[in-house]
Amino acid sequence: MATNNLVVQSHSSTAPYGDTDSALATPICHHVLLNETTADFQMSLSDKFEDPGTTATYVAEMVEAFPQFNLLRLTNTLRRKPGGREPSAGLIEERSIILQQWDGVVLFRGKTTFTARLYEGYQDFPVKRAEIEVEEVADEQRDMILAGAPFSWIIGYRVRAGTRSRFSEIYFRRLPAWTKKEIEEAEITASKLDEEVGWTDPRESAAG
Amino acid sequence: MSQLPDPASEEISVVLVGSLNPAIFHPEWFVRQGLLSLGEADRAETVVISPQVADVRFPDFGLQVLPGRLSVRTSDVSKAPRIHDLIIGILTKLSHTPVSAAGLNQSLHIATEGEENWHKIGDALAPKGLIWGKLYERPGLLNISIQSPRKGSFPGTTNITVQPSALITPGVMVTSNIEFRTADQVGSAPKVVEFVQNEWSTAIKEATQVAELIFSEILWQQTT
Repeated sequence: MATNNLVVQSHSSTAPYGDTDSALATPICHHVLLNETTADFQMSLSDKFEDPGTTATYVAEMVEAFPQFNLLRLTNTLRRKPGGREPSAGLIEERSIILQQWDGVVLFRGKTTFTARLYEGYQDFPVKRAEIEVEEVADEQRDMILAGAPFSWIIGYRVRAGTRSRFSEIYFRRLPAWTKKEIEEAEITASKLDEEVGWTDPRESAAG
Repeated sequence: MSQLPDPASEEISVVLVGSLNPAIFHPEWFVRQGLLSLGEADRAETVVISPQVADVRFPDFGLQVLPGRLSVRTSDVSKAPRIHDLIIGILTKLSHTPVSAAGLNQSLHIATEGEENWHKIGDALAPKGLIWGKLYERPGLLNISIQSPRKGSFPGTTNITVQPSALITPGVMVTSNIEFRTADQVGSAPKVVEFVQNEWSTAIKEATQVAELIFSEILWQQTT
């Protein structure tokens, strides 16, 4: 397989706005200075050029001022899976339209179901409570169904190759555990809030 | 009030600028750190991992790391919580990584349902009468970028770009970039974690919000 014969080229672009007949833009070279910005750029189809057996995607070019940023990404098209695509945005070629999304926390787990508290953002009150089948969760995540575990539950349409199907997906979050400092800060904040509101602990009232 | 057409394509990405070591970003590293499951790592397609560049395609998102830049992106918005958790996890595990800037990005391609609407958007965002029409024949808009400074706990800029879509014609591509520049690279990773946690939910819908306003003010306003 040839991995040479790469050609770096600029591409022409036909400007679509205004009047399409006349709005012809002469070659535009997409110079992307990778370490100067956090914006992501539209990868034009013409940024990719193929040679039999080898695809080189033009990621960045800044030849004169920043020679260290020259980069060609090489992808062996024969290894690419059917339906594979560029640029890399995950392997599964599908997109989703979200209809409903909840955040949740597991309260307790039974044999075949678990009970959880659900809310849509921090402003959502009162929070909902739901009993969910363990089978709704992917096999590899079922070990994560433990009291206190946060998850997201998304319902929507999944579009794959022009076909739209309904989906419901529960994803158990992989967030770092609370640190001791964060727990202490939360307790202090809660105590201050408690004092401001003026609530008293019913157990203390009963004892008195 | 009309509803924004479903995007033909949508992408969410996170970019970190700093000092990174691409060679460590192997799928196995993510499993060892508890950031991904073994199944996700097994299904990953590694394009390249070297001291200069790491490029891995996981089932639900892509990861690219250069010595000065890390980006994670997904074209399936239902996977957004995963890249949120991954970025938080990376920055927590590599808490001494100097990060000078972080960007939360959304891009979407939307059909304009007719060439006339397409031109209306281009003409409204960049009127041709005052300057361009006097100088050139039938000028057209290729790209418009707007930047707004952001203050508060996470100072930086909001950058919006609108341009013709390369995927659908006639259609527009709207991109948003919520950028946070750290004051000091040393010890900056925890601050970037806070930025991601605080700004995530609005940042990943920023371009949608802009597109809704463009469509409502330029297209729907005129038809009602």
